[in-house]
Amino acid sequence: MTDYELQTRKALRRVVLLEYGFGPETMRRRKICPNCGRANNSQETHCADCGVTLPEKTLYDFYRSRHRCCPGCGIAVTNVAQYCPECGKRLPKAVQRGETAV
Amino acid sequence: MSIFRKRDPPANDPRAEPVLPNVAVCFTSPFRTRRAADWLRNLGGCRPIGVLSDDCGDVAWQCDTEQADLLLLETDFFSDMEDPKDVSSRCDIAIEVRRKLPDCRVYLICEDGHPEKLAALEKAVELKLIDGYCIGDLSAQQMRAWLDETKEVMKAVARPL
Repeated sequence: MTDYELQTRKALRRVVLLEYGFGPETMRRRKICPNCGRANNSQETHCADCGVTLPEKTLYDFYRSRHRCCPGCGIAVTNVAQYCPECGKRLPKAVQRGETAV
Repeated sequence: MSIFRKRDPPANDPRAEPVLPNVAVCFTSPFRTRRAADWLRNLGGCRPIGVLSDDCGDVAWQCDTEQADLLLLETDFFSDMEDPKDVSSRCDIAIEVRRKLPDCRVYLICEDGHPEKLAALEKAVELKLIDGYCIGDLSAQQMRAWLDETKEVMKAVARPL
């Protein structure tokens, strides 16, 4: 695979994730209302539908609390991974994470 | 040698005609593509090329054959899953075109009313998959700005080292 293919494939993957509402960048922009479940913009303090105060944590913070994530690009990696498959960054050792309810 | 052979003016001749950018247009239907090419011809300042098929291979082949300097791609966010015309599938075409023509500029024309697509569009520009986009109808002013950008790139490429 050429450098051009590698580079463009990664870039396209990020565009696809954003386009369909997935990926770390999308989740960082979202806060879920604990009352009605509506996805709000992360800058909002109150839910646009029911007006309940939104949590401080974004959707990505909850995701991080349940998965081991790369500190470089933010994607979830397996517990045995030493390097991020997405950005190639060396990963810190895996720690056992407690589950947090959304 | 034919006596009808066309003689090209020397490159440093001030009377030489400026080289117009070849603009490939690929809209969501052949009818819209033809209309867009006609609109560009009336606008002036470029040589429009209608790409009637929006198949990735066909667009890349035609752009390469016609040596396009600029490619306009239209999106359709309501297209079916078998023939997507969304941001990522248009970026896929841009990647194929740029593989053959690295200096070809690619711009997307997107329909209005889809704010959820903005993040993907911004990211596509940031990662240099495309050079820009417009939301809603393409204005003459916007098109002229894109043509000027393309002419700058053409000048930079043509400039001797």
